[in-house]
Amino acid sequence: MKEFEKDNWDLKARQLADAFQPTPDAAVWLNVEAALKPKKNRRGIFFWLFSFVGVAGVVYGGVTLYLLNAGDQYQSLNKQSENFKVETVVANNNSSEVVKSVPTVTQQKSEQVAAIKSTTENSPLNIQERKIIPSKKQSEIFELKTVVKNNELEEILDFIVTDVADLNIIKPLNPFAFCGLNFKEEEWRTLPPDIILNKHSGKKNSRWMLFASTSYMKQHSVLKSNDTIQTFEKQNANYFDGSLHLIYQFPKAKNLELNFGLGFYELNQNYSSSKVKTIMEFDTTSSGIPFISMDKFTDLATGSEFSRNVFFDFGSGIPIVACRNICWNISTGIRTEYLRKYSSTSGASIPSNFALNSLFSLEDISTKEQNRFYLKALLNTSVRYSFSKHFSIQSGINSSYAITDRYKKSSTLHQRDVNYGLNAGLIYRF
Amino acid sequence: MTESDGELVQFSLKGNAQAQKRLYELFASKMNGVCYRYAGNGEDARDILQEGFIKVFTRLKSFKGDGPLEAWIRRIMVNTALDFIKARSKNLFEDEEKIDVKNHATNPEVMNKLQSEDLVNCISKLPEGFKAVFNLYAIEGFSHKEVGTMLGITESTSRSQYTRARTKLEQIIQLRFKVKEYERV
Repeated sequence: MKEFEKDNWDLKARQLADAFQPTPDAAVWLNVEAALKPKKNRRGIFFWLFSFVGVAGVVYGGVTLYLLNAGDQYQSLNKQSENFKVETVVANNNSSEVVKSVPTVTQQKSEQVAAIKSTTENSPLNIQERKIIPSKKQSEIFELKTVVKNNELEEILDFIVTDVADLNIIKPLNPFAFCGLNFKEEEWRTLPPDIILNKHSGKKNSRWMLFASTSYMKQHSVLKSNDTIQTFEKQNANYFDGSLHLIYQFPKAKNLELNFGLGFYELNQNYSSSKVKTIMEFDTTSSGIPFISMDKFTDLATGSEFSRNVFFDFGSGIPIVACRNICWNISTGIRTEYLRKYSSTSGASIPSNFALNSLFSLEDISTKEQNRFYLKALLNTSVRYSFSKHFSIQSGINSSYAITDRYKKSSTLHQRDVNYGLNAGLIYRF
Repeated sequence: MTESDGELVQFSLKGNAQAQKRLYELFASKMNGVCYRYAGNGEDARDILQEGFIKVFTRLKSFKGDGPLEAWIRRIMVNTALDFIKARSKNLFEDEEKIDVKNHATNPEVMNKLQSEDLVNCISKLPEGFKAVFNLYAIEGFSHKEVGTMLGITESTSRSQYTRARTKLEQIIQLRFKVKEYERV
């Protein structure tokens, strides 16, 4: 400290300056108070996102297992029915043959048969006799039941079977019938529904699909300088993207597909004026003792950037059959993006450590370093529903992560982007 | 540090909102004056004050209590203000005008009649670099060596800049005084 008291002019100036104490705007304290409130933990978003995916996965897996087990029971019951012989006997009824089902199996088998019968015995109708009547088509057979209703005999048609040799496929119990196509259960177990549809659609060699989709995404970015430990955050930005993917399903690998795609989106990202940054600086106490302080405090920078982005990506997916015409798809991939900046505004300064590196405003960063290529890692989980031979809809959750260098002059400035959002689209098989 | 300051700090560190507000109210006006001298306008002064107080509360744990709380807060405000004007002006000493440092002398009566608002307004008329050096050396009481370290200039540059700043300030004060006298007549 200098001996300024000896200088009357300085002394007078200091006294006058110290006497100047204007009352600050009331908004200042409100802003300070707001900044001091505990920050919302952003990791919470990811926690809930991944929790949601996890819970959805468990529920989905549970339903899948349940349905597949149900399929096992049907198959088991159908196999049991092969153990029955059908004997034809002539009855008093002249209009048709009266058929009587006679179990010729062991006691253990007959217990299982009793279990099947119990379902019909519980009905309000009392079964007296059972008849099998061929329909006009040779491959179809109806079972005619004669029942007692209101003390009168009445005949009703019950089960329909597709073929005498395939009595084990009983239509009302078959959960795998779809679009008029009777798929064998084994197919559903081993192939994605798209392939099965393709197999039955007359284009047996086709494995290609086009997937047009749109996503509603959120992006959060952090800028970080190599020279300092200071970070500079940008606000979340929301955007829609559109993309077109070509999907190839491997015929032999069954549960594997590749995808290649092109897409586009516009991004209008605001810079935050209230993000916490960390700074380490050399300071001294009022008594002149030096110390190094490392603290978090709020940055006041504001501004925005508008850019247009095109991307190309490729990846692989695993379609897992759930039931009927639904499959669960998990895919990962790499995306190359080209970002071009169109405009930017800068309302205030950037943190001083960036300024020391010859970057004096957000606009400097924006105008100098916007146009660039960078890579993104992709992760997608979605559900695909096939509603016809050629069309399916797919919807799911997209997420991606990117690290990119934005500035290479006196220092390197990294930008890290985390994107997450919902995706939905239409698939056309050709 | 007085006992009440110590209590305010302790309660503020525990997150007591009332203590934080009391601490703010205790120093807000004084620090607003400091910020205004560096910023040169009320709007920027408000931004600096806001950022400065956020720093104060987030760094309060590093206040050891071995000096007055006011001096510690003032130092944070000054550092914040310097960061602000450095970011605002790419080169603090780039466009300083040529000033004849030999011919300056403020009439002592002028200084005696000068009000605090007048002085601060005159300081705000100074170029950015002059303003920083004058505030740091004449008002805050730092040595030229300390001023040089804080502004990234040499000690001799700080000395010469201060001389020019003071000359320029006295010219502004004289001019303002004359205008006031004229208005009075």
